[in-house]
Amino acid sequence: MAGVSQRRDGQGEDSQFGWSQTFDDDCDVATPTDNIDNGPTTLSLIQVIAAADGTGYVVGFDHENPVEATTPPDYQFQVANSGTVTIMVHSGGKTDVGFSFACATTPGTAWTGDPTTPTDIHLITIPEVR
Amino acid sequence: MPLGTASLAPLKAARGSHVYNDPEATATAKTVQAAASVLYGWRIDNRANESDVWLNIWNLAIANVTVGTTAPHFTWRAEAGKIASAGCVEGIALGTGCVQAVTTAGGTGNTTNPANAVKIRLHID
Repeated sequence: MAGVSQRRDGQGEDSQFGWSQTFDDDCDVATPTDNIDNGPTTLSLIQVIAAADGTGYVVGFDHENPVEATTPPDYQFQVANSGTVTIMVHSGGKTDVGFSFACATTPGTAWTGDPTTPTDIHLITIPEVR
Repeated sequence: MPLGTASLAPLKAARGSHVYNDPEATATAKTVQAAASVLYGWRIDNRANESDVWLNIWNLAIANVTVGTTAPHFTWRAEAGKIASAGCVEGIALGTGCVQAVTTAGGTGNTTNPANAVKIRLHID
């Protein structure tokens, strides 16, 4: 589909038009975290599917290289064991610098720790044409 | 079924049908619900401010929340002068309770009130 970039784990070329999808089938706390867009973008949809013992927090940042346990999350929510969370952003959700995310077992500024088993994430973002 | 009878299922409230409004959310923690809750939607009206604000939610009783010290379990940013709103299809489970506060930075350590009133609306069960 023209204007759509399919990426895996934040890798791939930037989309110049339309929306971008990012899939990560093993969201973790690795630093630097999955960097989706370098530059302004807008969150549109976030879907997280956790494994049976995958309880954790998704932490999102208006930042290209957030630092574990240091950079305060701009977006954050919990996903329970075997849970699915699908967030549809109606308005707002714009980031100025870029968007990165990670999955952790501890929330807040001290976000750290890998969920025990893989957590799948699917994001749709709308990069600003630049 | 005999002629002339009808079976009517009882009306069931929609998910997130309980609406919580705070017309002046601040960095002071407030109880939304003091029992297990599920968050289905949120709207942060930050049109009165020239700086970003962050809605923080704790899955705790208010007695166990110290803004600036207790890590929030949910965070969502609203840009300066904008409304941020989103919905969650399945809901975000808050097994203990729901406490909210709005601060001028994300993460755990901020305790600053927004300069002007921030209106929040939560759709929660």
